[in-house]
Formats: sequence, structure tokens, C-alpha cells
Amino acid sequence: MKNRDINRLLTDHYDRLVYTPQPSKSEKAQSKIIAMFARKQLTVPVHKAEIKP
Amino acid sequence: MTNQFSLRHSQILDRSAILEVYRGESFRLALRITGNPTLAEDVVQTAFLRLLQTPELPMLLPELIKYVRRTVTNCSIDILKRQQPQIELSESLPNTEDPVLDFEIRQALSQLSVDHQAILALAHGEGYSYREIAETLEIPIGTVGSRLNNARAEFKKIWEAGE
Repeated sequence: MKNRDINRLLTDHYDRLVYTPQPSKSEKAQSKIIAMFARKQLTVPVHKAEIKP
Repeated sequence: MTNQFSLRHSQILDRSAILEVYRGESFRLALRITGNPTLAEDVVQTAFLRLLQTPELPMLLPELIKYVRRTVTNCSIDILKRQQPQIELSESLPNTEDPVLDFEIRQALSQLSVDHQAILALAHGEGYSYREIAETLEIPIGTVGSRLNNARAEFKKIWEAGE
């Protein structure tokens, strides 16, 4: 990754980081699960029978 | 005695009204350094309490703005340093337009030293010039460039390792 891409990544991150109201409990629970996927702590079990050629 | 008390009380009220104008900007700055709305609220409370108790606040507006920024930045750095040994990333995603990406970026940033986290937030988040960063962090202007380059390089290394 080029330096200017890193700079853009950081600038865009901080631009998105503005105050927004706190999410509800169900939204928090949902985002917690997505966060665990993002950290690869969870994987989706795929049943072999469901895989079609 | 009564007069002294009423004078001090009115001064505090005046200061409080003036500082209120900077609350929004202060919260945004603290949020960009800490990455956490709850910590940012704590920072603003602590910083404003400190500002209210400062014996001599600058009278000129540009100097006052610099003073407020410096106090908020110092409080953000202090709170991150205190929290760092037991810091645990929030389980919930940040409430942004791209929460997964921002969560991953925040994870990478949290591995940097607090000084590096702060300088990246001031440069990339607030868009401060080298001079403004030097004044806010109370470091020589020559140090700003080198610290910023080191912070970017360290972030890049961590980010690329995680890809």
C-alpha cells in the first residue's frame, strides 16, 4: 500500500468519526456479532449438504 | 468576603459561557484522539473543569482557542495513558458510515503509542498545520515532521500486517 493511500485511509477514517447518537441495545448486539466476524472470531458453519456443485 | 465570593462566582459563570462555545469542537477533537465517545465525554468534562479552575486564561481569542485545544489534547493523552494497560476494544462497532473498516482501523491505531495516536488525529483528523500541532503538543516544530512520519510508518506496518 502506498503512503498516500495510507494517508487517505486515515483522513477518511477521522472524517467519518463524528458524533452520532448511541445505537439501541439490539443494534449494539448486532454490531457486536459483526465485529466478531470482522476479527475472524466467528465463522459461519456451512453444512456440506447445502453446497451445490 | 461576600464580594470576593460573588466576584469569583461570576467569573466562573462567564468562563463557563465562553467555554461552552468550544464544547462541540473539543468533543470532536477528543473523539478523534480516543476513538471512543464515552472517553471523549470524560475528556471534555475533565478539560473544562481544569479550564474553569485555571487562574489566568488567555484573554485574546486565538490564544484562548490554542489553550483549549492544548488542554483537551493533554486530557485525551492522559486518559489514554491511564487506560492503556487494561484497554479493551469496544465489542460494538463504531457508529459510522463504514463501521467494519473503522473498527479495523481503530484496532490498528490502538496498537500505536499514545503520542502517535494523538499526532495522527491532529494531522489527519483536525487538519492542523505543523505549527498548530507543535503548539498543541508543546513540541518543537522540527519534531512534528519526524514524529508524524514515524506514526504513519508504524500504522502502515501494522495495517499491512493485518491485511
